[in-house]
Amino acid sequence: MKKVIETIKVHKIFGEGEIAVHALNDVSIQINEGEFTALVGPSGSGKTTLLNMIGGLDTPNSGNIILNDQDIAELNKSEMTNFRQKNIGFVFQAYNLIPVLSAYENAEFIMLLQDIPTEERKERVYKLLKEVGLEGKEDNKPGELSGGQQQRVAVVRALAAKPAYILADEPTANLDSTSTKDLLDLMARLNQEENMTFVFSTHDQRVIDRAKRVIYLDDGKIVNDEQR
Amino acid sequence: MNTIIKIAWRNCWRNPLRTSIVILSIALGIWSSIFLMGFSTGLVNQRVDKMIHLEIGDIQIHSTTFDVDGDITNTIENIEALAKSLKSNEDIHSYSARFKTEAYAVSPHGQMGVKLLGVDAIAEQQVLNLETRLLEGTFLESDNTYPILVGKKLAEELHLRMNSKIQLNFTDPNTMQVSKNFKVCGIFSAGNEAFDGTTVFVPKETIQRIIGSVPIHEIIIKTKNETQADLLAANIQQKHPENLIESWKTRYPEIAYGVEMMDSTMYILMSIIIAALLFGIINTLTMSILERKKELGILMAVGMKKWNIRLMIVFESLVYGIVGGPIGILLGYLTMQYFGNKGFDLSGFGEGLESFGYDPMVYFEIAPQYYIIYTLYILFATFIGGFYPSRIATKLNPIEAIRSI
Ligand SMILES: Nc1ncnc2c1ncn2[C@@H]1O[C@H](COP(=O)(O)OP(=O)(O)OP(=O)(O)O)[C@@H](O)[C@H]1O
Ligand SMILES: [Mg+2]
Repeated sequence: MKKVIETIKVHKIFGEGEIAVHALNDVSIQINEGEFTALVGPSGSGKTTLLNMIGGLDTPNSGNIILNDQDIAELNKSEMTNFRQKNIGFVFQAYNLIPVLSAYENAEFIMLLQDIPTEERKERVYKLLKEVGLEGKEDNKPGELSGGQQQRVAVVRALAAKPAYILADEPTANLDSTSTKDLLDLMARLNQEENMTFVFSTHDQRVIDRAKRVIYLDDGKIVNDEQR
Repeated sequence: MNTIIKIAWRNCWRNPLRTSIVILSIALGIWSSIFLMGFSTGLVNQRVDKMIHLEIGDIQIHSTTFDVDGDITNTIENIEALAKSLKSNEDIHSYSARFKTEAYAVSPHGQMGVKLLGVDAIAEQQVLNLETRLLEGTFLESDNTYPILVGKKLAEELHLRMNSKIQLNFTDPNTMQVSKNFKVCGIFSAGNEAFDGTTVFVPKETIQRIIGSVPIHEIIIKTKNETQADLLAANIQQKHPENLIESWKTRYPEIAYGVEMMDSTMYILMSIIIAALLFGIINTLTMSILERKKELGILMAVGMKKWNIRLMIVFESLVYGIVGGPIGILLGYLTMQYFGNKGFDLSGFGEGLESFGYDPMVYFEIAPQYYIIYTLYILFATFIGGFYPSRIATKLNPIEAIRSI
């Protein structure tokens, strides 16, 4: 099976001297294509920091990060931006979408950055929006969609660009239980049908229960890694 | 690219009030620049036009020493040859040869030093349009043998009316004092008190009768093409070095200087207005960027290049100019059309404009290229106004930006 994410003894320190925080303490993980992984741990345990590392948004103080066969230490900032655009899908906690763009325009945004032709964009976006139950909402602005609908558009935006994997930092934190279940259903289905790799962090037991692999973090260290 | 423009355009209208205020201030800035430009160009051109068409002509010829020695014997050299060459010059519309001397005008109510001009009425009216400025009477058409045309100001000073008697005293070529009574046949107002108070016109024949000859001291010329006056003056000068040939610009440099001064004043004013607008634009954009840090962070995270984000912000600024500019230009254009035709009445604002040679009615004028210059100015300003705040965006760290709400 293809290894899409690998961290080797990744160490991240915020601040200096007395107030230095070791947000990640020599974290080594491997995540393979098609996995459905939850990052779990108390607040401040380093979940977001780790997601930022494997999202190419932040760099470690020491250790190596290999994403989709690329050691990201070899990339400069502009190359890194390009790499993210081509390989990594992001779903953030909330307010993911560009408020001035419609659901359709938001969903096609990354494909636009990738210069994918109009016809292909249209086809993919309409198909995906339909699949996630947003048919007829294509022209709505984010402000006219519920939190759950917005998160689904964010997933479509990430997915439509065909990334190597999708990262989601507490994607359900702002959602009610029905929307949480819908989003999880969607992610699980995409994982099963399209073999899309997901890594998401969460505090929510219902979300943890749906994961196929759960990595427990505490104090910047991996304390448990459980395959289900 | 289209997407960047689309987002930029829509971003502008997220806060319609704020954007409208910026756009309006740009429109107002441009409009006021056009207004001021049109007004002052109109004012200065009116003054210059009046001078040229009522008082001095495009080109003047004198003896080389006439300015330092205005004696009645200091006449133009070689007048026959000069007249012949002026007559045959294709670029000259008309010219008028004048007798000109200092004289003393006396009436029962007072006395004044004046410039006495002995002219050929027909030639004079071809060069100048003073006959259009007659308040009363005619331009030296009279049954009287000694008619005189005086200005409004002089008429007031000496209490002259139509057919009033006025005595002129001057020195003849033999240094004898001569004195003659004239009868007012007309009163003009050129709208310049200095001129109206000190200039009197009489027919050349009267000079002939008084001193037995008509020495010529001054020739005024009307060109076919006003803008070529300098060139033409230089040409004539070359052919006739024995006399001094000057365009109005050389003869009255203070007026020409005024035209130039106005131009640079306008540029300074425009720069001040642009600077003020620039601050407004920078301020507005900075605010709007700081308000949506998170959004910009997400754009960066999902792979939008910093360069494109800057471009987006510069476009947002350009929208201000692209919308506000044409509104200002259109308003300015309409204002110009209106006051260009109807005139802008200053008589309510200040008495005594006339004493400086201005008419109270100003007809706005603007060189068409200023519309283009102002458009470029504003595009430049909005570009700079966007470029600077866009630096803030590129300094954002996506992680921190996303964390901020
Ligand atoms: N930019 C930063 N500057 C300083 N300290 C930071 C920064 N980012 C994170 N930290 C610290 O690093 C540690 C890990 O933070 P992180 O955000 O990764 O935790 P988390 O597991 O995502 O917590 P939460 O569940 O509350 O989201 C915390 O102690 C936090 O205070
Ligand atoms: Mg977190």
